[in-house]
Amino acid sequence: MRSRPPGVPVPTLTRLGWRLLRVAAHRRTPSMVLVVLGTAAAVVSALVGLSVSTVVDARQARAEARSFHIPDDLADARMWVAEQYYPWRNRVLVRVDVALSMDTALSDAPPPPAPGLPRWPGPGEAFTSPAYARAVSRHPELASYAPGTIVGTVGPAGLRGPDELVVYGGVDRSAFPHGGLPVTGVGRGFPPTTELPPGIVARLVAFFLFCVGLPLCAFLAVAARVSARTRSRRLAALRLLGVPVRGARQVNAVEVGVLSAAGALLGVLLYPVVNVVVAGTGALGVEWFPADTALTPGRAAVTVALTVGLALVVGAHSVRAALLSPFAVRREGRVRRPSTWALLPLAAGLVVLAVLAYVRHGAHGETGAIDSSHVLLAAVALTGIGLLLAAAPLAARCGEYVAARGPSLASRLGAARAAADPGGASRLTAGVLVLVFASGILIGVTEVTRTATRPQRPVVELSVDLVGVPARARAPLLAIPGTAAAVVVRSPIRPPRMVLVRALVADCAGLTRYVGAPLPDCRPGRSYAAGPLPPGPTVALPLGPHGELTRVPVPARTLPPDVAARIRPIHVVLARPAAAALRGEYGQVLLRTPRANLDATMATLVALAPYADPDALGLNPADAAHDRVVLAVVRFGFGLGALVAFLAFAVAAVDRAAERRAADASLLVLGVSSRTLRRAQVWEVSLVMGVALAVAAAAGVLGSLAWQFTLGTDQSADTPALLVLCAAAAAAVGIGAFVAAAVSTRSLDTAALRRD
Amino acid sequence: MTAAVRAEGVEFAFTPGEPVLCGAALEVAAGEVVAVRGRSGSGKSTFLLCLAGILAPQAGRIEIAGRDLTVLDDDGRSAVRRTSLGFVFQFGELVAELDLLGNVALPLELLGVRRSRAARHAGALLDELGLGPLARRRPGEVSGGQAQRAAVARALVHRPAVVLADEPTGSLDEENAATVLDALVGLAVRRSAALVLVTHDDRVAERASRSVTLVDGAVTDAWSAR
Repeated sequence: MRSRPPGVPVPTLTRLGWRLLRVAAHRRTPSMVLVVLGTAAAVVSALVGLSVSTVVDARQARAEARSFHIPDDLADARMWVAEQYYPWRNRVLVRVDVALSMDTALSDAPPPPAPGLPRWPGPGEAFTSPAYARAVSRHPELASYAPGTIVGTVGPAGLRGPDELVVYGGVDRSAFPHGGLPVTGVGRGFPPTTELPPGIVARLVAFFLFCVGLPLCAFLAVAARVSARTRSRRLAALRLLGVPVRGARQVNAVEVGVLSAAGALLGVLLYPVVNVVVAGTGALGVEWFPADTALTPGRAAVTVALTVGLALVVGAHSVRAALLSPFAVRREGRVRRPSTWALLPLAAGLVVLAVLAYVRHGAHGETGAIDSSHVLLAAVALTGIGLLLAAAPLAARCGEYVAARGPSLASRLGAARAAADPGGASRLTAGVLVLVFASGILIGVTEVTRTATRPQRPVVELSVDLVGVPARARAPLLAIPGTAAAVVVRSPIRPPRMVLVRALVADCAGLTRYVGAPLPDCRPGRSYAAGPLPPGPTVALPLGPHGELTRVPVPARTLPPDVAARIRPIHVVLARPAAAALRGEYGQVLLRTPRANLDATMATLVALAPYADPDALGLNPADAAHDRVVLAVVRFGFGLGALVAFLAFAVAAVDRAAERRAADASLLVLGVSSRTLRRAQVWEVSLVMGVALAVAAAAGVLGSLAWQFTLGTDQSADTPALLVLCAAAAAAVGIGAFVAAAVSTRSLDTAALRRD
Repeated sequence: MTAAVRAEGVEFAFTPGEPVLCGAALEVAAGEVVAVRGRSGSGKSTFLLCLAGILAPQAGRIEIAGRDLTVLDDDGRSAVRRTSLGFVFQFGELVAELDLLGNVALPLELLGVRRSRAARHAGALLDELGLGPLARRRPGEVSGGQAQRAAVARALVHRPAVVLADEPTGSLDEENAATVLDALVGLAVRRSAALVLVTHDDRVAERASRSVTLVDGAVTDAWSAR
C-alpha cells in the first residue's frame, strides 16, 4: 500500500495566506478596499433581491388581515361598510366607511376593530394613517377625503406600508347609496386585490437581478483579477517550493476568502442601515416597514456563505493556470485574440429590439399573434449579455485599427495597449455598459408606467355613474369649479330592438364649454344627431320628471364631423338644462377638467359623492399601486447596479494602473515622456469606453423604444430622457478618461523596473 | 553510493510529435556539482523542470534522493520538492510580498518548523551570506545580486539533497555573478547537496565538477572539468 506523502500543515498554509494578504493589502490598499466595498454592495443587492417577495407578501398579508368578512346570512351582519379606492396623484387613497348596526353599537362585545385601529369610528369620526396626515399638511384639498373629525391614527398593523393613505370613517348607514356591504368583521375575509401578482413578482425579481446581476458579474470578473499577475507569480513560487496544488489553493483561498468574507460581513452590517434609510425615505417612490425586510440570521448566513463560496470559486479559477503550470507563469502568456463570434449575441439582441420597436410602433399596446413581451424580455437579456461579451472584441478590433492609423504616438500606443489587453478593456467597461443599457430600459419602463397611471391628455374626462350619487349631490356635480359638465343618458336596451342610444344633455353654454367648440345655431330645446341612430321618428330616453322614459324626436340637424368626433360615442345631443337629466339612475355625469386641475376636481367630487367611483382614462388605482411598487424595485435595483458598476470600474482602473507600472517604467526609460504616457492612457480608455458605450447607448435607446412600444400605449418616445442617456454615456467616457489621466504613471519608478 | 539524482531515458514533448527531450539521462552524486549546457531551445530548462517534478515526462524514470518521481502524483512530487529539492532561477522567484527573511524561512515553515525557529535558521544563513542587515527588506528593495543570494539561501536553508539552478547568474554582472556562484556552490558542497546547474556560461560551467551537454533533447557528451 502506498503511503500518502505528508502534506503541508493547514495552519502553516493559513498563516502564510494571511501574511501574504496583509502585505498585499498594505501595498494595494485602494484595490483591496474597493473589492471589500464592492462585495458589500453585492451582498446588500442580494439581500434586497431576496427581500422583494418578502415585502410584497408582508404588504399583502396586512391587507388581507384588514379585509372584511361577508356573512352567508345577512342576518349575521354586524356592520356595513363601503371601501373606496381613490386615485390621488400616482397614489391610492383607501377610504373605508363603517356603519355599526344599532345592536352592535350598543352591545358589550362589538366586533374587534381592524388591525391598527383602537376601535371602530363612530358616526362623524375618522382614523387616518400618518401618511395621510402628512399629505394633508402639504395638500389641504386632500382633507375632503376624510369624513368627520379625525380622532386617531391607523397603526402600522393596518397599513400595507408607512406611506399608504388610509382613512377609516364612521358614518350613518343611511349615507350609503345602497345600504353598504354587510359584514361580520375583519380578518382573512374577501381577499383584497394583490398589489403584485406572483408572475409580476417573479419578473420583477428577474429584472432586479438583471440590473444588479450583470454589473455584479462584471465586478466579480474585475475583483478576481485584482493583482492577478502578482498573485499568480507568488502562488507559482510556492508551487516550485513544493506546495501541492491543494495547498496553494488553500493559500489563495485564505486571501480571497478573507477579502470576500470581510465584504460580505460589511454588507450584512450595512444592510439594516440601508434597509432603514431606503425603506423610510420614500426616495424610491414607495416606503415599506423596515421590519418587513429585516435580516434573518438564516438569510444572512446563506448570503455570506454564497458570496464567499462564489468568490472562492472565481478566485480559484483565476489562478488555475498558475497552480497547474507554475513554470508557465514565469513567461508572459500570449493574449488570445477575442473571437468576432462574440459579437453575435449583441447583434442578434439589437436586431430583435429594432424589429420590435419598428413593428410595435403604432400598435398602441394591442397584442399580436404572439406575446411580444416574452420576446422583448428575451431580447433585453440577450442584448445585456451580448454587451458584456462584445466589449473585448470591440476593444481589440478598434484598438488594432487606431494602432495602425493613429495620428500620434500617444494614440497609437494607447490603441495598441487596448488591442493587446482586450480582457482588461472588457473588465474596465463591463459594469458601465450594462448600466447604460439598463438606463435605456428604465426610461422605457418609466414611460410605460407614467402613461398607465396618470391621464396624459391636457383635458381629462371624468365620468360619474349617477347610481352612486345621492340625489342631493347630483346638481352640485354640474357646478364643480374649473370643469365643463354634461350629462349622458342612454336608452334602454330591450328586445326586439337591441339598440343603445346615448344622449348628451346640457344647455348651449354648457355644451360649448364641454365640446370645446360652439354648436351651430344652438338654441334651447334644439337637438342634433351626432352618430348613427336607429330607424324611427323617436327614441326613448330617461328624461321624465322622475327619470322615467320619454319619447324624444330624432333630430333633423346633424353635427359637423369634427364636432361629433370630440364627443364620440354620443348619438344625440340635446340642448336643454343638464339638471333635467339627473333624475334617473342610469345616467352619467361627464366632467371635463384640465389635467392641472384634476386633484382639486377629484377632491370636490369625493366631498360631494364619496361613493361615486369616478372613472377616467389613465385613472386606475390598482395599476397605480402596482406600478409604484414595480418602479420602486426597479429604481432600487438600478441604484445598486450603478453602485456595483462604479466600483467595478474603479477597481479595474486602479488595478490596471498598478499592473501597468512596470511597463510604464520601461517606456519612461526609453525616453517616452510622462505626458505622452498620460495621453496614451487617455486614448486607450477613451477608445475602449467610447466605442463600447456608443454601442451600449444605441442598445439602450432601442431597448427603451422597444419596451415602450411593446408594453405601453404612448407612441411618442421620451426624447429628452434618451438624449440625457446619450449625454450621460458621453460623460462616463469623459470621467473614465479623467480617472485614467489621474492614475497614470507620472515619474520613473525604478523599483518597477525590477522583476519581483 | 546512492545517486542523489538519477534520470534515465527521459522523454518529454509539450506538443505531440515535437519532442523536447529524447531519452535524456543524468546521474549526480551527493556533493557533486554538474553543469548542464546546451544551445537556446535545446531543452535544458525543460529537463530541469522534469527533474524537479514540475513537468511529468512521457517516458523514462527520474529519482530524487531515492524516490521515483515518475510514479508519484502531484502531492507526492510536491512533497519531494519540499523535502529534497532547492531551486534557484535566473530571477530568483522570491515572493515579492515577503521580506528576505520571510522568503528564506518559507521552506522550513512549509515543512512544519515553527516560525520563530525557521526565522532563526534563515537569519543565520542570511548572515552567512552577508545579507543579515537586509533581512527585513523586500526583494524589490535590494539589488539583483542580493536578491539572488537570498534565493540561494532559500534553496538551501532546509538542507535539501538536491539543488537545481536555472541560469542562476544570467541576469547579473560579473562581480555579482561570482559572488552568487560562490555562495551557491560553496553552500551546496558544504551541505553535501547535489547541485545541477543549467547554464550556457563557460565561467559557471567551469565551477562544476562535471559538465554535460544537451543536444536535440539528449545528453550527448559528458566530460570532467577537473
